[in-house]
Amino acid sequence: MTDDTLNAFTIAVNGKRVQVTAFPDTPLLWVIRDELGLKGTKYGCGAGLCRACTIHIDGVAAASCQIRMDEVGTSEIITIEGLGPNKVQQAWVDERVPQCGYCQSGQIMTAAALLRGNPHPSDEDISAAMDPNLCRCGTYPRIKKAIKRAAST
Amino acid sequence: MPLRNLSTHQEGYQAGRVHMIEATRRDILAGLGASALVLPFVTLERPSAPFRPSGWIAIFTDGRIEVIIDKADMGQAIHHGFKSIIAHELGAAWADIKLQALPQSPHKWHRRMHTGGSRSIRESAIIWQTAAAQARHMLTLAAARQWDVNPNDCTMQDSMVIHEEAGHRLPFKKLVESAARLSIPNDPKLRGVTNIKTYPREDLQAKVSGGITYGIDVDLPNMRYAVIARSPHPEGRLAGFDKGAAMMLAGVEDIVEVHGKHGVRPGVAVIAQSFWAAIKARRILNPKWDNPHTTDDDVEAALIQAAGQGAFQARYFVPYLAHAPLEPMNCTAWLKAGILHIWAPTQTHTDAQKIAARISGLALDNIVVHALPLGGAFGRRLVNDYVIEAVTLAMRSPHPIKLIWTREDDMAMGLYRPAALGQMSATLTPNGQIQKWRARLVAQSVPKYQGRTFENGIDHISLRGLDPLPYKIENAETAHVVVDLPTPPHYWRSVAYSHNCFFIESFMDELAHKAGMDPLAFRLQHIKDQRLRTVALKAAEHARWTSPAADGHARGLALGFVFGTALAQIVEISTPSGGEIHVHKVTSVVGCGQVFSKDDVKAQIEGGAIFGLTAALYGRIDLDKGEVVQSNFYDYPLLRFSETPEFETILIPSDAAPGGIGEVGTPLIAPAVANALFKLTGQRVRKLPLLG
Repeated sequence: MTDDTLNAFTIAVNGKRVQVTAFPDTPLLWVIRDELGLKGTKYGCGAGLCRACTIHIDGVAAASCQIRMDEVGTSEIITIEGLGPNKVQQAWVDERVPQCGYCQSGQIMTAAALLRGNPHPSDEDISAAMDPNLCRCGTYPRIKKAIKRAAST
Repeated sequence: MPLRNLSTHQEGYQAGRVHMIEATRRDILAGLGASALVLPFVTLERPSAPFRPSGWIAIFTDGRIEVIIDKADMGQAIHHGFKSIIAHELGAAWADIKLQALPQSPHKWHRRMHTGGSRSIRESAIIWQTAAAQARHMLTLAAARQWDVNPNDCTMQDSMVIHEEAGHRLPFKKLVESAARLSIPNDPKLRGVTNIKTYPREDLQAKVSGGITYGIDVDLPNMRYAVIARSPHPEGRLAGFDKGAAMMLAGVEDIVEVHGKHGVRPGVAVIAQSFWAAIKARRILNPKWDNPHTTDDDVEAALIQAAGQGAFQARYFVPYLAHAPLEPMNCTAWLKAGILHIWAPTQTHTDAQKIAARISGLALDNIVVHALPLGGAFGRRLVNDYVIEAVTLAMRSPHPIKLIWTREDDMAMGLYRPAALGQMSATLTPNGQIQKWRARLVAQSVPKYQGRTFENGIDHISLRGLDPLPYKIENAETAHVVVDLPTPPHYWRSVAYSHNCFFIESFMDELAHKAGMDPLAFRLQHIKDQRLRTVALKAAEHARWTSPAADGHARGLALGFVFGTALAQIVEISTPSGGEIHVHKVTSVVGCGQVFSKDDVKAQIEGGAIFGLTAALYGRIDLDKGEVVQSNFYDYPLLRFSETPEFETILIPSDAAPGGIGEVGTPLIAPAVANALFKLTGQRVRKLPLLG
């Protein structure tokens, strides 16, 4: 198939298999947002530089703007809407992290993936994990507190 | 409600003489028509059910308290701030207060719907306090009459009027009808805010669960997506493009030329069934542009040339900057049965409606503005160029049109914080007193670019920070050389303070060094304002200014008034490998008068400082043949998590009228870091970005 031909793809999102029509090179981000209507995953740069579009692919945090539809295959995709019960979102509320809020889905998805693999991260672990996620409002100090809070509860 | 005189936000001392110097190539600066501080007029409806003590608060017999707040939420928690004010002043239960949607017909609202200039709390807190206090006084009087007690012995709590001694208590809902028959007190006594609570933020749950709808998330039946290839040069013209191949792409429905007018650039729009189809089509449009021959790429040199002759001791330069909110510009528009609906992520709903009327030819009555929370704004969304584009496309479409700017569009088609040159001179007496101060700002004038005119020919907006000065200097003169350049200038978080504070606070440090004095002691010698003195001393105490910094570290200080708030910031830095600058800690002391929501004020100061630190270390927009060079976050980097300093933020609340907050944390961090760098390395950097 060429990149300019629309194709049917079946992908697994938030525990459900769904069929969508897209170009092979359509970034997964736009399918999640506009075909599946899951708007919590955000577009910020389209180049994997801001990570507002972070999702989990087979449990690993990834930039959905950098994944072509023909690369998704049978991977299990989880978006912010499908994150399920977790300590991260409550910690974000308790520390009053969000300002404009636009980047926060991505921040939370990155933090949730970190804590799943490393329930008690060091400051260095947190820094390394969170560094790809940009926040223009400057909520980083509170993100740090929220991750520590989530890790300690 | 009575019109009150808002207290003026004293920011220090007017320079002895301020003048504008015309350096433009073609335009002649016309004077007049200053922007006066105008208090909105609040409609006072005669009470009838529901009880409506002002046009903005309505209390119903079922206990609901409805409030309409006409400001955009862009991360500053302004809805929360106003709701806190009302809950506190009215003695209402938090859960009873329901925020209503922003007005959808801005032309019928009684004031311009505009969110910017750190003005929301400064200008409107008193209106909300007064309205809530009016309601409280009337409810109290109604209860007191019923109980035959002195209203002054009653208190309010959890939406109830209480008389402790007699054991009476009545909920508001039981008092609404009798209170509504009372006259509205003109000048109700306010409770004051010293014991105001920190209330839970209602926007948080949606913001942590992906459940909030920003402009870019608007979804409508049969909606089409639009992207536009625009002239990369602000004055370019479209010379041609290839329509054929792009039209063949699956999902592409239309390709149309967009004529550049009303401040938007000429371009070619692609309308498609998906965003990605539109993007793919845009890639093969191959637009050709006729660009004017531009030779002003070296903006610094252009400003130096415009500065003219005259001696100075220090010359500072700051570059153009982009706002880069994380949600790029976008707008959805739909002409449905003769009514134009716009989903406009804007800071200026009134202006968006007006410009939509102008573009569409429709009457204001036929334009509905759906307000949305903004994914960051920082001044960028004061201008509605993206609304113009979306409306232009929607007027010729049977479908709703969602226009999205890519990050690259946003960076290249931006409106930029003006590049600015500051030329400073001063003489010192033998005891280190500034004798003669001369400051010259050389920069584009944003208000002039926007067609505004000035009282006495002075663009006070571009001079904020330089005039009035935070320091008491008898012989001070300030000049603004207004330069015309093709790159569109715009207000950017902290506006002119963003460059003027860098000039002043760097130069004060240089003068302190020349006088052989400690930078704080030197400043204190010129500070007469008690508020500024207090924040400076408090910051010094908390940052341990007088004790030596750790090995390889140094501290730098900057202070001043920003939008009526006194701020002192001290940073501690190191330069681990020479080329890097590591900012370890930022201590901020804030004197902003009344504080209504401490936690959010701190968040704004710290977030503002991070915004300022991004600009100080990295921020620059460069030009190549008049076109913006930077395109995405790889060449316009934002500060990252690992680079974020530790913060200590101390508020010194008072009963004084509130100062601004949203932009206050931003402009002092650059000079503070530059001053610390001088202390550490002996090198004075007079140019931003510091890592440029």
